[in-house]
Amino acid sequence: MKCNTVENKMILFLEGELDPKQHAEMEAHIASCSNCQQMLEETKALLDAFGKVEDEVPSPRVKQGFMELLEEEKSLQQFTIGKNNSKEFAWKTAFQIAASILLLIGGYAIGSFQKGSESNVEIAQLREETSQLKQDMMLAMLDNRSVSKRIQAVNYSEDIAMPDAKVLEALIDRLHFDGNVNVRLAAVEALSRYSENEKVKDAFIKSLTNETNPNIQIAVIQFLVEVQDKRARAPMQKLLEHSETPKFVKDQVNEGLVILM
Amino acid sequence: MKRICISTMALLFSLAVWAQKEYKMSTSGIKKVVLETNTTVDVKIGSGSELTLENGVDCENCDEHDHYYNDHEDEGEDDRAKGLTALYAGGTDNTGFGMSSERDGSTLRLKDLKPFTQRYGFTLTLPKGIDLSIDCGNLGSINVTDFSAELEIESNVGHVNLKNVTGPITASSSTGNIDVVFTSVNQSAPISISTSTGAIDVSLPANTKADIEMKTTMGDVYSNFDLVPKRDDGLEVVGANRKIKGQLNNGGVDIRLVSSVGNIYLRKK
Repeated sequence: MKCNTVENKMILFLEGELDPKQHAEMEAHIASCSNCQQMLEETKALLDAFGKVEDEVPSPRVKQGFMELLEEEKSLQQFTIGKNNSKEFAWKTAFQIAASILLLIGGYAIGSFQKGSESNVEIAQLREETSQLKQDMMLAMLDNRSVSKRIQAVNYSEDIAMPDAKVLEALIDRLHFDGNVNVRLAAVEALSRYSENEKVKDAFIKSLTNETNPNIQIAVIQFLVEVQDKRARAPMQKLLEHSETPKFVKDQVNEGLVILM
Repeated sequence: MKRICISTMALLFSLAVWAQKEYKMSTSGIKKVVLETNTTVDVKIGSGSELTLENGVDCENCDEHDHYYNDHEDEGEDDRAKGLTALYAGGTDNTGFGMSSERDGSTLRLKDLKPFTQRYGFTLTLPKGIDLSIDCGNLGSINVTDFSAELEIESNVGHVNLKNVTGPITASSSTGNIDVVFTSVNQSAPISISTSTGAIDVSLPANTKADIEMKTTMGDVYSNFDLVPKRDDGLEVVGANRKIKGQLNNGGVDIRLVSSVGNIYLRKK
C-alpha cells in the first residue's frame, strides 16, 4: 500500500468504515511508516476538533420574534379573507367554479355544434349545386352533335348518385331515339344500374320491341332476365319469330326465356 | 398500229373522264363533314385546305371485295344524256360527283346519290383537324389513315380500318371487322367501338392512360395488357360472360369495346 492511498483513505479508516481487509492493510502500513503515523495523528486531532464544535442554536429571541410575526400575519388573514376559510363557502366556490366550467364547455359545445351544422348545410348545398351543375351539363351535352360527347354525357350520369326523373328521362330518350348505336349502348349500360326503377324497366321492354341492333338487343335481354321481368316474354317471343333476328340473338332469347319461365 | 392508236385514244379518253370525276371544294368555316354513301371510302389527310372527292381507292389495305371496285373499268359518259341532267330520288347533284352537298352551319353534309352498283369506291381527302362522320351504308368499307380529329363511323358489312388515329372514335358495324391502330389516345372524349359479329382489333401505345371496358357475349377477349389484376389466392380467371374492366397506366379516357359474337383483341404497341 502506498502512502498516497493511505492518505486518501485516512478519514474512512479513522471512522471505521473500511472493510476488515483494507483496515488491516492500513494498520500494517501505518505501523511501518513514520510519515503516515504523523498524518494519522494530525487527522485524528482535526476530527476531534470538528467533534468539539457545538451546533449553532438560534437564540430564544429569534423564536419569539418569529411567533410574534406569525400571530400578526394570522390576525391579518382572518380580517381580510377569514370567512372564506369556513366550509359552507368552499362548497359555494366549488359550485361556482363548476358552473362556470360547465357554462364554458356548454357554450363551446353549442357554438361548435351550431357552426358544424351550419358548415354541414353549406357543404350539402355545395354538393347539391355541383350535382345539379353536373346534371345540367350532362343534359346539355346529351344533345351534342358529337357522338363521342354524347357518350361522355351518358357516362357522366354514373357520377350522379341520385339522378332525378329528368336525368332518367333524358337517358331513356337516348336509348329510344339516338341515331348512333354506341350512344344507345352506353344508355343501356347507364340505365342498367337502376334495376329497381319501373320507368327504366318499361323503357327496356319498349326498346326490345323497337331495337334492331343485336348488341343492344342482347344487353336489354340480359337486363330484363336479370330483374326477372316477366313482361319481357312477349317481345322476346316476337324476336324469335322475326326472320331478321340474328341466330345469336335468338340463342340469348331462348336462354332468357328458360330463366323467365 | 391502228389497234394501238385506238387503245391509246381510249385510254386518253378514259383518263379525261377520270379527271372529270373529281370534285374539289374549299373547307373554310367547316368543322365537321358528314358523309353518307354505300361504297368503299378511303380517307386521307391532304396538305391543302381543300376537300377532294376522287373516284377509285388506293387498295393498299382493302379486303378482297374492295378490289372488285378498282378492277372495274369506267364506262364513260352516256352520249344520250348530253344536255340532260341526272336526277336522283335522294337529292340534287350539286357537285357533279353524283353527290349532294349541303352546308348546315359549320357542318358539311355529303350524300351519295348514286346506287352502289354505279360506285366503285372513292377517295376523300380532307385538311387536318376536320371531324368526320361516315355512314358506309350496307356494303361500304372504310379506310382512314393519319387522322387526328373526331371520327364517327357506321358500317353494316364493310370492314373498318383505321390507321394512325388518335380518337375520339365511335365506330360500329354489324358484321364488319374493326381494326384500329392508335398513335396516341386523345383524352378529351370517350372511345367506343361495337360490332355484332365482326372482330375488334385495337392497338394502343404502351403508355396509354385509359379506363378499358371490354365485353363480348359469345366471343373471346385477348390482350397483352395486364388488365385483370392477380388474385391474392393465386387463382386465375378462366372465363366468364361478363365485362372485363381495367385501368391502363392509372386510368384515363374511357375506351369501350363491345361485341356480341366477334372476338376482341387489344394489343400493346
